[in-house]
Amino acid sequence: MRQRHLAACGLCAGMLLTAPLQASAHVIAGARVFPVTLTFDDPGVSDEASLPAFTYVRNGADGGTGPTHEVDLGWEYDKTITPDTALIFNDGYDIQQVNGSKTQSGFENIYATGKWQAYTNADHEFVTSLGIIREIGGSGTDHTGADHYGSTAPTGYFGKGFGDLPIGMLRPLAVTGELGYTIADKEVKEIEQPAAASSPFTDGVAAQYNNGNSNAWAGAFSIQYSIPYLRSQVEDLGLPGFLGNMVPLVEFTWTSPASAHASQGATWTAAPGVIYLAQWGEIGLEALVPLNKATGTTVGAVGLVHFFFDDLFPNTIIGHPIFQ
Amino acid sequence: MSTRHSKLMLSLALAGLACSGGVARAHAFLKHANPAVGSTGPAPREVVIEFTEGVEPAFSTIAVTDAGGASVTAGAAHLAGSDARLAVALRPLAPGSYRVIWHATATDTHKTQGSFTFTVAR
Repeated sequence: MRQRHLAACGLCAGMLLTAPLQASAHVIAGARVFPVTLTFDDPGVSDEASLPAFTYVRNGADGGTGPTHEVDLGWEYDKTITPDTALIFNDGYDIQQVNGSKTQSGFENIYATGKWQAYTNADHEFVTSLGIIREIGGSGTDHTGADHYGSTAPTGYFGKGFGDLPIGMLRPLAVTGELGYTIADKEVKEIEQPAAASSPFTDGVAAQYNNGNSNAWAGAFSIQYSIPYLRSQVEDLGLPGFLGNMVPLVEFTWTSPASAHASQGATWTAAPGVIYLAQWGEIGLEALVPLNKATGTTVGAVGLVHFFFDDLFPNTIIGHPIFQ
Repeated sequence: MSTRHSKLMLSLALAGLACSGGVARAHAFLKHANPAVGSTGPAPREVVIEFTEGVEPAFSTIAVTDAGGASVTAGAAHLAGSDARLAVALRPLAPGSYRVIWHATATDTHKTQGSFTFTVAR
């Protein structure tokens, strides 16, 4: 029973790590370009698409039915409605392979996000946005873990570049982050209380729960060092084009259940990596390092190819807001 | 379910193909500058900025100021050899630090901005 519970926890953690990437929106605030982060959403809106994003995680090595290898191929489309508002759609296709078992595959639930870039300060390279993320329950495949019930998550985003610092070599630094609260359509509740064994020859009764989900807090934070910013704003060191377009960064993501009967504890993940930032889009690659046991025990990876439609197709409806 | 997703992806792909005619670029960012960003050297007679994309000179500016904030430009910014190179002439510069502040409007009207310093050696 405990082994099964551990395996279930591992699978849940894997699903958290491979949930549809909320990456979107390369945002420009003054001289600062905030590239698309790989594990959470960016602080603004833009016309763009991720195709594909991939995530690999391995779980369950500490017991249960054996290691689970999970690959998620994700995609995302961002469409600006006005210059400050956008609709974002995420989905993914999961391939789960458990040693000794048949490989399972299926779609994740679709996520739709409405987002408003509420405030942009070009001089101080600051931007903040508000959004509502809606998970459409039942839109994915049951046997790969897509939930029958959806959720709604009001979320806030911010980005701040440090171009106003007096120390030149620190000016390419920037931070971005988000904080949201996920409200489950059907919250997990206890439907039958546990009972002790009535005699030495009988078993007790375990607590019974409905098949709902936990509400949860989710936050994320990134620290970035933009070589393009260094090259164009601080000092041109003559780096070759490839190196001159790199943005090394580390992302941290955190989730914490907020319901009384949640089956899993808080998860923490660090994702160090690098983004190659081009005019047409970007390519990113990061390691997924679980920071506690509830998150997992082995290092995964996440990659992204992202296209900036506003740069690729600026004169078409796909590249600019529907309402200018 | 997979049929629904396939139709969605096909629709997106067709929409992309339908809108993909006349691929262009946008967001003009600084590619190179002369004098170079953050450099120290002899007094330049002009500042030339090469952008990653073409810019509209009527809606693009280069301002150059000395350490006291006084303008040291001699005239307005103009294209220099291509629509991606913007230049502005300078008055004779004394040794010291100078700040270049540029605003660019790309040919498709995307706006960008930036600034950097260079130093005239003694």
